[in-house]
Amino acid sequence: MIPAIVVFIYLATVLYIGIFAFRKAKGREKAEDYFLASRSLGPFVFLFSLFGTNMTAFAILGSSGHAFTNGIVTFGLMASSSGLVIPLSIFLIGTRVWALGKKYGFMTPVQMFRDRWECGHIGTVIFIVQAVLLVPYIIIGIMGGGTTLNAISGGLVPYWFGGAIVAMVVMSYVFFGGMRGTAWVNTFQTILFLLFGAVALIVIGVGMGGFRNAAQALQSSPAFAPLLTRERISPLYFFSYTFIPLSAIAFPHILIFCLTARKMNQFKKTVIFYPLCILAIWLPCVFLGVMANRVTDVPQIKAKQEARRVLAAQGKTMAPEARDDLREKAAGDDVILLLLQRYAPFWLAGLLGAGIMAAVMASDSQILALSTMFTEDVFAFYGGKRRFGEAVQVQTGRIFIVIITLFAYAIALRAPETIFELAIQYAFSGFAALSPLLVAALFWKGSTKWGALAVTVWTALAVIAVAVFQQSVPAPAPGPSTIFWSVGGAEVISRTPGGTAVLGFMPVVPMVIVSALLMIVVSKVTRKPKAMTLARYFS
Amino acid sequence: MLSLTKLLRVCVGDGTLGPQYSDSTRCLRFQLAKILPLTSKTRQQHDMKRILLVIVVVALYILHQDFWFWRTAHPMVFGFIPIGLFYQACFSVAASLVMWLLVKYAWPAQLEREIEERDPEEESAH
Repeated sequence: MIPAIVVFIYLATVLYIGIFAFRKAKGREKAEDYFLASRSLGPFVFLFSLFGTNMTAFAILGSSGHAFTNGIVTFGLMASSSGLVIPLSIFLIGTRVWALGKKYGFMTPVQMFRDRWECGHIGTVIFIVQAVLLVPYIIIGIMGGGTTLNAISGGLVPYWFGGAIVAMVVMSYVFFGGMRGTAWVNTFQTILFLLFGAVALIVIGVGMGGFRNAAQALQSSPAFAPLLTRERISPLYFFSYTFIPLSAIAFPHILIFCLTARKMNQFKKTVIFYPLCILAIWLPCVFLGVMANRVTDVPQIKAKQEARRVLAAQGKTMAPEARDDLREKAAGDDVILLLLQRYAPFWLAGLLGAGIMAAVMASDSQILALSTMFTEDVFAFYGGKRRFGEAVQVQTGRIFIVIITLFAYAIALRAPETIFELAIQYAFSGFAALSPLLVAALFWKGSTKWGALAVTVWTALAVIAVAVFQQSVPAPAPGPSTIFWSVGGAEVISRTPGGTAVLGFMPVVPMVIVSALLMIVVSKVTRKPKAMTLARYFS
Repeated sequence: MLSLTKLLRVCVGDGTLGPQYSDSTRCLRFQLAKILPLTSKTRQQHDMKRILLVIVVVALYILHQDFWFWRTAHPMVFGFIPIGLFYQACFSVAASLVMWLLVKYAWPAQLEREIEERDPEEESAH
């Protein structure tokens, strides 16, 4: 119960920071202040909150869980590629979007697209696709909160109550604090989970009797030695994964965050330190996830390993449902929690649990971004701001925050978590496929609104197609994939144990390439925006 | 393009600088960069720098695909970190260094200048 109390103290602190600590007395009813903190964030808060916004439950729980099953490949797959692609995209795109936002007052990406391509309803289509891809994040954040509180309290706090507490806390500080409150909470959370990685590594390392012995034991076991290499993942899959971080800059909450910097100089530290922050969080989590396989005295970890073994040995002869059931049992998303329970003293487990909660609660930025998008791209665009004024616009944003949180909580109580985990996988690919919109808007004079529409519709259709395919064709057992369509003996589409492969690549690769081609081809044959509009962007 | 008169008025004038300029040297540097056209030599150097930076970024992206350590854990760095993981950790540090190079040599300062030039005009209009 002590860890749960520490986590509750943490939640109270977060609430205080978000609502009261950095509240401004003046100008509370200005939309730009509420949604963008008056574009006034300093370098320290900008770096940590932008980084924290992009670190969700996946960073700590997901990375260690993936590493537990797949080994050290997780770091190269998800972390180091992000350490290159994300800061690069912030450098190339984030800075330009910031400058345009400052010049023309944009508060959302869709506002910029509407202005750049002289379109109205096409912007609304982009808004809808962005919103639909973003909602699963909010739901999974609440689910993660409920699960984590339940695990940390040893089952004393039921899932529904834990989820409700997390939803209430996040909703309250986003509701009252807007972007300023959210940014400060994110900064606090990022510092917490940066500390978490280092402390968890030391505590668990000491508890396990040193990593050298553990690593040697893993290496000498035929079942676990492959986890120290990357032989379980194909190089094509590894290459494909470098397309996924393209999604980061296309996420509305990240792009909106880029608009909050006071000066462009504030991007410098973010761009330089981003890869190091990723290294500091992901390396300990991935390493601990792999090392968890060495732990022999935690029954839950043994059960996971046994499920993995049965799946590998008998998976081919099993019914798809039984395979899915075993996969769920073998999943390692809670291994970090189990390691903490086993090796950390009570009081420290609470602090580290708070660090995990910090990562899980990253849905605040998505909630605020959805609210900003709704009030700017729908409410204001369709005349609400003109008719009712800016104060009503801010109140509408707040009401939207309550509605979306309650909606997410209601769904979190009913739907199985795996559905939303899958939805998030699709969302990553979807936002990556939307990234050509930004590149075209900022760097190509010849792009048109019809090209943008083609990219958006293609993204929506491709995400739906992958989702339908994966739901209708059951995942095979670990090993060779199931070929769904081949041409002349070459695999075109196949169902892999972890998803789908198109010509051996993850679907995100063809999705991004087709998006870019559609933008080029459709723009070439359709009418360009007026010269006056282009001059505003390319003078 | 700014005239020399406007430049002096903005940066020296009555001695009152806009809040965005910490000193008149910084102000002059920003404004002069807009007035003085790039010489062909400077332009060549500028282009060469950009090409080199693009090559560095592409090389780093290729280095991420380290198939040469794919199937081996050896050598174990410090006795417990598999070489593949250590390599990718070093890659992250290299990515940070490349970002530093980009910030130092390819920072889109013109965007900043446009905003800083625009702000005082807006302020004076209010």
